[in-house]
Parts: sequence; C-alpha cells; structure tokens
Amino acid sequence: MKFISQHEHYEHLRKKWIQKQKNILEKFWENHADFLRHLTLGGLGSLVILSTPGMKISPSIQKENYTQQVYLDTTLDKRVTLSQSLAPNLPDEVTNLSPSEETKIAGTLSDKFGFQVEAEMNGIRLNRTYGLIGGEQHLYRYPGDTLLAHFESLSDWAMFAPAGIAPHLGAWGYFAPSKPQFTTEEKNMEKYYIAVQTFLSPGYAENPQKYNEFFKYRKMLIVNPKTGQAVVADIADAGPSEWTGKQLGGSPEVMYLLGLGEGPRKGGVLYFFINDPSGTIPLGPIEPKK
Amino acid sequence: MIYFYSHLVKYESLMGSLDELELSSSQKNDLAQIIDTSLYHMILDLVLSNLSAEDKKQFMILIHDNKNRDEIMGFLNEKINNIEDLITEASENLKEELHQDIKEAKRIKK
Repeated sequence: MKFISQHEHYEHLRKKWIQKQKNILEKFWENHADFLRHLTLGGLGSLVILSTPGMKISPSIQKENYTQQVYLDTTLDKRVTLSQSLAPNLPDEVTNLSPSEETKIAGTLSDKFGFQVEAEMNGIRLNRTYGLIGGEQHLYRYPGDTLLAHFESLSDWAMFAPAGIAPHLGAWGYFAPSKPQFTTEEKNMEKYYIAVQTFLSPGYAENPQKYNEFFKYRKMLIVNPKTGQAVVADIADAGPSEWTGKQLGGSPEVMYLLGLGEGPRKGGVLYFFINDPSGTIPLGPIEPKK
Repeated sequence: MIYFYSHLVKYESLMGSLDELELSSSQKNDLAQIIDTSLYHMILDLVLSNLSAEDKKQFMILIHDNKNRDEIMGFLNEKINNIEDLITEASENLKEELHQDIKEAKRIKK
C-alpha cells in the first residue's frame, strides 16, 4: 500500500529549503571562514552565527559556545535565586497579597532588579499585585495597521500571529496618529503591553480621568514567580472583565517572555509599578541583576 | 527577533502564502526558522563581502554588542555604497525563489 503523507506541502518545502539553507551556509563559510576563525579566537565569532540544524562547528567556535553556555547558566541561576527569594512570601493560591507580603516582595524585586518598584504610586494602586494573567491579542497601532505588519521576521510571525488582532483599539486608542509617525518606541509599547483592571482600582469611580492619566502607558514589572522570568511592560488596555477570573492580560510577546506562551496561556504573576521618572528602563525582557 | 536589516525586508507576501498552506504551528515555526536563518546568513555574506578586513571586525563588534539598528545601518551606509538597495534586492530575489517553491508545493496532488 502506498503511504501518502498528510503533510506533503510541508515536507516538500522543508526538504527544498533545508538544501537552500545548506547552499547559503556553505557559500558563507567558503567566503568568510578564515576571518571568522580569527575573530572567534577574540571571542566574537560564534555569537553572531545563528544556530542551524546540522551545521558543522569548528573547535574554536565550540569553545566559544561553551562561554555562551556559561552565560546562559548564570542567567538561569539568577532566575532560580529570584524564584526562591519570592517563594516564602507568596500565598499558596494566586490571591491578593497581604500588606506585609506586598512590602517584602516589592523590596525583593527592587533589590534583585536594581530599580524601585511599588504597589502604590502617587496614591494610586491597582486592585491586586499578584494575579492570574491571560493571553491578549495584538492591538492596532495606527490607522491602517494590519496583523502581518506587526512582525519583523518570519519566526516572530509563526510564533505570535496565531493570537490574532483585537477588533477594538487599546484603552488609549492608536499608539500613533499615522504610519509615518509611528516610532520604534511606540512599536515596543504595543509589543510589550499589558491590560490591567484599571476600573477596579480603589478610588477609580470617583476620578476616572485622573486615574486614566496615571495608568496610560504606565510601566510595570511583571514577574513569573515560579520561573523567575520577567518583563518590563506598559499598560495599554483595560481588562479583563471580572467574570473571566483573571486579573490582567499580556500581549503575545509578554506571555512568551513570561514562559506562559503555550498551553493554557495563563498563570500567576506579580505586577508592580516601576518608579522610572526619567524613562531609562526599557520595555521588554529583563533579567535579575543578582 | 529583530535583525539590523528587518526594515528592508517585506515578509507579508510570504506570510500570506504560507498561511494558505494550512500548516500546523510547529510546521510554520520550522519553515520560518529555516527561512530566517538562510536570509540572515545570505545578508551577512553580502555585507562581509563588501567590507575591508578592519571594517568587518568593526561590524562584527556592533552585532556582538547588540547595538541598535540605526547604529549598525549608519555604519554600513558609511562603508558600503547603496547597501540598503543591495540588501533589499538580495532579499527580494530569495523571496521570489521561495514563492516559486510554494507554488510548486501547491501543485503536489494529495
């Protein structure tokens, strides 16, 4: 009986494109092997070469890869240390923190990341600082924006496009008035956005304008206490609704960086305001400093 | 991932064509990574082939130090004539090949 694959398109393309990749890499090495070998001895070569299945690696580059592994091990150690530091002050369930738990955790996070984080700022706080985060969709960034325009590589498209794009705008509208005026900073604001329950913030109903001005693109440190993964994100939307049982939402990129990008796309996270008046702390993934 | 040349490569037509194939997430991811890696090394080859030995080293330091796109492209624009056009042309040629391959794959009868 003839075996018929259910993935013929994929298998055909994969075979063809692996060969194309091999040809490109062979030409690359043929043209630049001497230069890169020389550079690797100075510690630079392998870090710029993307990993490739089946790629032959010279001994000098293997040695450099060891250095990369040491770097990775150190980063992972710091995450584990962070997770272990947080554990004693976390409740068993993902529920609101007591004042003393909140103070201790804010202190730990400030110490580990090297900048001040706070549960309350300018007299304003959210309803929670420890809650369940769920996956959100991408947001329209300027008039005429499309889902596909969000991605700068095919790998990013493959990973983050399936989340889709929300039919509504974020809480503050478009990030930029037009495509020509759309900046890299605004690109990062959508990429690393979170939605929080602004409307449940104590005192919100009495003065929504003041509270919205405070929350608009406010930077927050989001930490997965189980893994030590963390992101500097900004508030770009309001939600989710109380009935969902979740307390905040993360963009597809934020969820991925917190280690919650697959499976149920849900998990417990700590979230605190970042005290950054001069705007020096960049949005995106962040590692504990110690 | 953002590469120093990402703003010069338009991926949307490829994304659309791959979407039409109804691939699973892992299959899309796999093919996407193969294309990204191929394009990266092709452009790296192009850039290094047009730099002097000293400038090659300087370029690699910029990449290694994870400098922002503006700084890397500023350096390349200074050192290589029409580098942005060269990168765009090379990526368009590769994209054209990939589109042809996808057309060929679609002709395969199940």
